[in-house]
Amino acid sequence: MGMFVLKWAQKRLALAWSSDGKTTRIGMACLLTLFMTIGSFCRTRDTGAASFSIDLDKPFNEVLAIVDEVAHSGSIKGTFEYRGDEQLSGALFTEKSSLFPAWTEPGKVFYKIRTKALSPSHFLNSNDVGTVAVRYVVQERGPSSTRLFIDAVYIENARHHGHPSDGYVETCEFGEIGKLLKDREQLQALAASGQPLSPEKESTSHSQDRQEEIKAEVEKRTAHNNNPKSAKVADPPKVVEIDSAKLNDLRHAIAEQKSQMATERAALENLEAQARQMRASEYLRVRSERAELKVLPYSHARVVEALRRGQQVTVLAKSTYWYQVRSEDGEEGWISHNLLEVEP
Amino acid sequence: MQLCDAGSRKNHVSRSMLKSVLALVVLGLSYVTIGSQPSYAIPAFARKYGLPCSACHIGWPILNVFGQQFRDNGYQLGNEKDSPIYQNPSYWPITFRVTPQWHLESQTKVQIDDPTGNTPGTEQTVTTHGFDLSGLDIWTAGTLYKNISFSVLPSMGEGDTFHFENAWVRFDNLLKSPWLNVKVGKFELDTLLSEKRFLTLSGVGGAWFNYHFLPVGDSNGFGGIGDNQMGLEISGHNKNSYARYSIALLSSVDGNPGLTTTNGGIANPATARTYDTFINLNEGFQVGGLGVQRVGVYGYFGQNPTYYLTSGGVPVEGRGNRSFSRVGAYGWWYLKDLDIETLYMHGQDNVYLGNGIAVNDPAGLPPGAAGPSWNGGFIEAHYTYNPQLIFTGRYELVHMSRQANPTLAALPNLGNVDSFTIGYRWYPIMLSRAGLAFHNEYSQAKTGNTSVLSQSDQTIRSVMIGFDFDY
Repeated sequence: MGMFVLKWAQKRLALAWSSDGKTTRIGMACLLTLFMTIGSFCRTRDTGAASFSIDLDKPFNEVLAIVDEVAHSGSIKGTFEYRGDEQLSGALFTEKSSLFPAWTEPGKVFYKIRTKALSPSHFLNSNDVGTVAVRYVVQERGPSSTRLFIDAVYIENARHHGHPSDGYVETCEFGEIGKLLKDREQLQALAASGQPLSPEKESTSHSQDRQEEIKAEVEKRTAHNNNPKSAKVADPPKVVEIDSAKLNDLRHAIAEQKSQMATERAALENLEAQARQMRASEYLRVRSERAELKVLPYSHARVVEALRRGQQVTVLAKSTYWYQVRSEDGEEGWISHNLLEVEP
Repeated sequence: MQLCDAGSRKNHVSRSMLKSVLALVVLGLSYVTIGSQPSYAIPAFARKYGLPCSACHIGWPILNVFGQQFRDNGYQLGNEKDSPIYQNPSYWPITFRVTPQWHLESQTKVQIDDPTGNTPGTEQTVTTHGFDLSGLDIWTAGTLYKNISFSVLPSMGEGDTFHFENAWVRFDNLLKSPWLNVKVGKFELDTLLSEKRFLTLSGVGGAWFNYHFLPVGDSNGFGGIGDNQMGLEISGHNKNSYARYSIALLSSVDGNPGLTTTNGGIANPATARTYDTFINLNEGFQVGGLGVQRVGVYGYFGQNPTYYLTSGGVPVEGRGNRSFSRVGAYGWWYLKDLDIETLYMHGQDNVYLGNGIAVNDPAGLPPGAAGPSWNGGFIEAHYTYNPQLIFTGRYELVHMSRQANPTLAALPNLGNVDSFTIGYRWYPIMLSRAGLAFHNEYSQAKTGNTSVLSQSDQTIRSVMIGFDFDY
């Protein structure tokens, strides 16, 4: 069969290649070029999970401040040039960028740009050298409701090809924003409990060890405020100078403070959990025969769990194409919104 | 010591003999193409830097803008990642490439011998096919030190011995300027439309007729600007490699070691004493969102001996050198995912080379002899659907504008080549560790008046289905 097709093709081509087949040859070449040119301009471009969006039950100004801070962070999360790197450093904040269409809807827009990026990861069909841009749009929805959009795109310098993110960049950028929001929430809770915080700690930090830093600071401050002498506890040579009764009192006070701290922390976590449940208590169910719960919101991400039709999931967060959900087994992950339906 | 006339008797060589020689050259070219395809993609670089292949290649082995910049900069990124402390101790910059394949080769109007020997025979189409291997390339390249780069590429065909496809050292960014780089050794000429990074691998599709063309009856030993050459190259470029130049001083040996010159197809070691020059200038410019368009001009100006001094019958020095040239212009046009390469070439050989006559035997030139000249070109398109799937097509022609003598000129199409190739490459694997391409290609060429018996056009065809991989 193969040989038959080959011989047929050879005959046709031989005809085109005969001495009187010049017109046919030119026609073939023109048609081929036309086909490829049209294809080049008209074919569907790379599709990716664009426009990460989420509604946050936070005041607009609070979210705006955090997003502004992340936009100034100097690095773009969720993408890298060299294997082993975790982010793209050298990014710059800007308020305008031609790499995205103009934003015409309400909201405050920020951009973070990294030029001369070398085939960055997590952008579909990434190639050559170009610019990575992240756009944040913060929209006020109500007194304590804010909508956040995040988009990331990579544009080649030479061919101006636009490569949308596979969703990972937006997710990681939001992860950073979420972490800072959580930090601020914790700090506010602690401040409300009557424990003053240092001014520098009131502004959130970029540190990855932020959580630990906060805990350490709170413990230090608590001990210091409630027992000024506690500073001496940390100074071994001076402890020797205190009599044993005073030392016992001091230890007792510290233990009390620690216990109080633990109680407050537990209460805070409980409140957080309640708040999270309240704002995301949306239940959907799986509509397809089999649906994959993934670690991250993109198609090639690792599968956490395979869900079956009819299984209920709790929605924790939403982007345009992907929902972050918790399954009945307690597993959390992302699932394409097409695979879910509202419970009857 | 005596003078040896290498070509005085060749003007009487029959036309049919010349055609046979051309047919053999075409077939030989096909064999060489299949037997020792060059490899110019280096997963080892991706391993070294921890970069994806897409950093440098639109699709392996075609370079993108950054890839060209990286290559021009002596395989250096120009940042701290070039430092050895960033390299994995187990890193070893070697790439292997080979292509297991099934291919079919067919040629029309081949003279088939009469078993009785009573007649000249008959003309038939000859077709062969089967499973095969390409040659093996073992390529290592990189930097010896900051701004000293190198490349060594031993290559061998199936059942062949190793030869050096290239071996050079390059001193980069001299005087702290990208405009001054010096390369010494055997290297690919600075042809932007590179024969070494092409997507056509079949016997006919990989022939690149313009880059290797010689007229029928020509005794020039120059294998074409597609061949790697021995010499010294001075080159430079601006920061983004849009503007580039190169000037090379080359031994007139067509890249063969041992100062070997060739005349009339006969190679004579330790006889070279002349030099050739190759110049290439090109400029890139951005056109809106279409991409970087590049245009350039080039010229190869060389010499080849027409006879030899001999000692004890052994040629010891090439003499009677006569000139030849290949000049032209080219463009590389990007229309988003479609890139089109266009090339024009004008070639000419001295009358003595064109007729295979020694300079010291001017009477041997046939009446009306002239230096042969020809024009050729190709248009090649690549459509990159995505970095894992590339379609390609090429139309190429070479037409004689002047034959070397009236006898040859009596056949209007003698030596002309019209060729086209279509194919695609699908890359299921394209990682920093390895690359694998599923390669499918059909190509055919018509050679003018080359059949021995009927003196009509012959058609050669190739079909190739293979797995091109490197590691």
